[in-house]
Amino acid sequence: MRDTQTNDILLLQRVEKGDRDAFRALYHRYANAVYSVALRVTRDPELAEEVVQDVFMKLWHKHHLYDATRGRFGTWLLSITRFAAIDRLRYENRRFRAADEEKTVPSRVEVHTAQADHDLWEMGQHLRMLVERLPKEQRQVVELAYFQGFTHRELAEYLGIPLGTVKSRLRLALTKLRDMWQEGMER
Amino acid sequence: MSEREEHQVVSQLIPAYAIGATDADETALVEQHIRHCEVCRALLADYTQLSDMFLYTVPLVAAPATLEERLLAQIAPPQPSDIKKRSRSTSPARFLFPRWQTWAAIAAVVLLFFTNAYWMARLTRVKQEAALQATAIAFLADAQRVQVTGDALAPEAGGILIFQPDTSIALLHLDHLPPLPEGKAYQVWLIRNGHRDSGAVFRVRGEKEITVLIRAPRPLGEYEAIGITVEPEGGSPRPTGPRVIKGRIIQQGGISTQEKAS
Ligand SMILES: [Zn+2]
Repeated sequence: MRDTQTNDILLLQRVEKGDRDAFRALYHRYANAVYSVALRVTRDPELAEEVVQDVFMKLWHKHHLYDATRGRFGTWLLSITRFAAIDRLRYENRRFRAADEEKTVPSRVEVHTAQADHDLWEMGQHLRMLVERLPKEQRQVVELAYFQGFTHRELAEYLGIPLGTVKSRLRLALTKLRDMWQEGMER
Repeated sequence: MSEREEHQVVSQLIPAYAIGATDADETALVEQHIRHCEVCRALLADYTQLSDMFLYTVPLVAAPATLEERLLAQIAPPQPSDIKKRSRSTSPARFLFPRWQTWAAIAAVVLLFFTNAYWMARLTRVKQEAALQATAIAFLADAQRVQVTGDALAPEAGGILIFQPDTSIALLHLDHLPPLPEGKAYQVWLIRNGHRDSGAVFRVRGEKEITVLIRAPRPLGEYEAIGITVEPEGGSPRPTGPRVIKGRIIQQGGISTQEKAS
């Protein structure tokens, strides 16, 4: 894991000097992951592509935004992807629609390339199973908040339930996940 | 609000704050409180970790191949010095990824199964995760591996076929396959008594490593060999293009029992 991080930093330093090869290398390493996060949020392949472009253009022009003291580069990149995608939905006024569209599944998903951070992706699968284990209404608030960027109030409005209920439901779900997650990691 | 009450309120808001679900007033309250409350800061660090992990729960799908060109077209055109540098055999893959490692293949297997499970569950609305997890584990425990090697056209290419003789699904982990021009794809062939069955069609866009899911018409143990040729994008009914990869599935005296994949 440390190797990937070191390598990323070296590539970033070259990107800073305008090195296209280094940029391409970072792209190859993270394009699938970035696209996957963008698609998960937008549920729209075209919009997801635009988000990927925005994110990598930002990386090319504003690589200095990444602060290595605050964590892994790959996680940072996916994290700004998530925010960029949510912003994009907000901008297009499509958040509610994206939340409604549970069915947009890309038609052919055959080849999966684990290009970097295999261990994190593997851990992610474990977390996903924990999320699946939550009662449906808890899973729903977690997913809407995390992937569609809904706040407490927006959740209450969208779901038509009292604000207090939303808050406790989300808190309960996240607390439960954290506990199960930590338990799983200790084993 | 007393200090104590404030702590009580904020500590309950921390999980939502970590994933960005608090409203503006709540966010402001959390941010001013954690400046002086170590307990809440520690709690936040915990939930931030969980929040980051959520990023890795999304189903991994391949980015469209055309995206890279469009992106590169948007950044400054290559300098002459860049071009010279590249022709000096800096295969972009060289510094891209860590060396081939077995765990990568294993992670890819697990990922593949889980990811497929995800889509299957979504399509059929039936929960199959547990069953597939068991399958993946069993698959790894009993899987056999044989090596495949590059032909004259791709001498650096190679990889490993992970399979169980009695199942018709296998994984082929490949590295150093050269990218193909538009309209072309790689096609995997399984060979049995001189007959060739198509196992998969896939493209490479410059990844150093790629894992391909193979679905054969028959159990893998019935095949003698495997090969990969270059074909038109949609694949061909039988091989028409040059061969780039070859490998033997059955070795003399039965199925290969080279190292196990676990
Ligand atoms: Zn506190």
